[in-house]
Amino acid sequence: MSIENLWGELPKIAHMRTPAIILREQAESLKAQTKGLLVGDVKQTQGGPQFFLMFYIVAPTLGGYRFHLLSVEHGLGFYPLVVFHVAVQSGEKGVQCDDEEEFVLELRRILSSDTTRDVIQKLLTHVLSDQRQVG
Amino acid sequence: MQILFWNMNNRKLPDQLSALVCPLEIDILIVAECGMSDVEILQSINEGNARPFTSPLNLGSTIRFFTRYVPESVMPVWDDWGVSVRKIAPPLGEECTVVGVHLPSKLYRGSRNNPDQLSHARSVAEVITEAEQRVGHDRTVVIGDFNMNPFEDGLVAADAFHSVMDRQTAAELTRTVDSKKRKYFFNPMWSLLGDASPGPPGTYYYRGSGQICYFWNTFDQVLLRPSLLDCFRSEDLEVITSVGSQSLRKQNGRPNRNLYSDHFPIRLQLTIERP
Repeated sequence: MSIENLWGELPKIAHMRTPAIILREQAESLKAQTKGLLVGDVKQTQGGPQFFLMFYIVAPTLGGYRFHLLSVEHGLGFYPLVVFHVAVQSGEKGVQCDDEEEFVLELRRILSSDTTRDVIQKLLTHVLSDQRQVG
Repeated sequence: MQILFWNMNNRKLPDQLSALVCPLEIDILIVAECGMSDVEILQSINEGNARPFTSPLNLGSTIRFFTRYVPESVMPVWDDWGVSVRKIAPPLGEECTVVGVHLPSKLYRGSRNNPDQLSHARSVAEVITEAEQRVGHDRTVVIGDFNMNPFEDGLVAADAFHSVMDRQTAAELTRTVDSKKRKYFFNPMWSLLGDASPGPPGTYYYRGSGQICYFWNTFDQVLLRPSLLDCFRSEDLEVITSVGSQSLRKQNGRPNRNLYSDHFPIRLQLTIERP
């Protein structure tokens, strides 16, 4: 006797890049571009129904120094989400993104901003001068 | 080790900075809301100074460190939302961790004891705990503008800063709350509140229109882990109200925000450098 399907037609599993996956891709990209001198780290926490993603720039050769660059807050459905550019906004205001396209745009704006470039440049200078002193 | 913290209200005060750090022989200067660039600050505090300051690596936008120690003595550990953690290895004595904080203002986040400030205090406390695990010790001093008074939830709650007003309680090291062990901080600023304190009644004055108003607030504070208690004497902490012959106060004793800053600087001495 075959089992009757009481579920009806289930929704198709969408090929979705979650905000965490998108951030981890950028963490990998930073590592590749700086040849591992700087790496990205994504930390995930949960508070009630909300999920929080923290993106750090980490300098492994500086004792694992961490710079908190941005945070993302989202619910179970991922979107809309709110992005906080921690380095400049001091947590006062975030930018709402209604879908993946808006999130990627906001991420591009933050990662390629003068503030972020300045942080990366200063960190790389520090890392390289540290290596020269050791060498 | 002498540490000076000043929220400068986005002012350019090169002469006052210079007149503060040189006579007081400050080793570590930490500024928040400073309207001067690193170069401008270094120019002002290094003029005629035999032991010049350097800026070790200032990536945080709100808190900046300057030190007279050799640059290698100051290692960046973490920069986060309103918090900068630095590992300090003085020429003599044990290393310690100095955490500079500038937490969100009540003006943006509502009134006293608001949940956002408590939530932020919890996340900063987590950063400090994780940083202590990374550096491998808890000889930690936290200094800065908390935008909360010593008696508010963010400073007192066990899952936030967990700071207490007396050494004896802090010396018990930890307290277990909801099955989690929480380390104490000692908050010596409690002794500097109100008229009977040796300095001004607080570090910041605000006359609000609400039912509850403290007028004087002690937002600028110092917290010490119990492991640093024997390096600290109560008289080694002061709220500074004058720079040389210049008073930072108005005639009524409140911070002269028109000429200087709306916050008074605070100075801390820790006797860490022992042979």
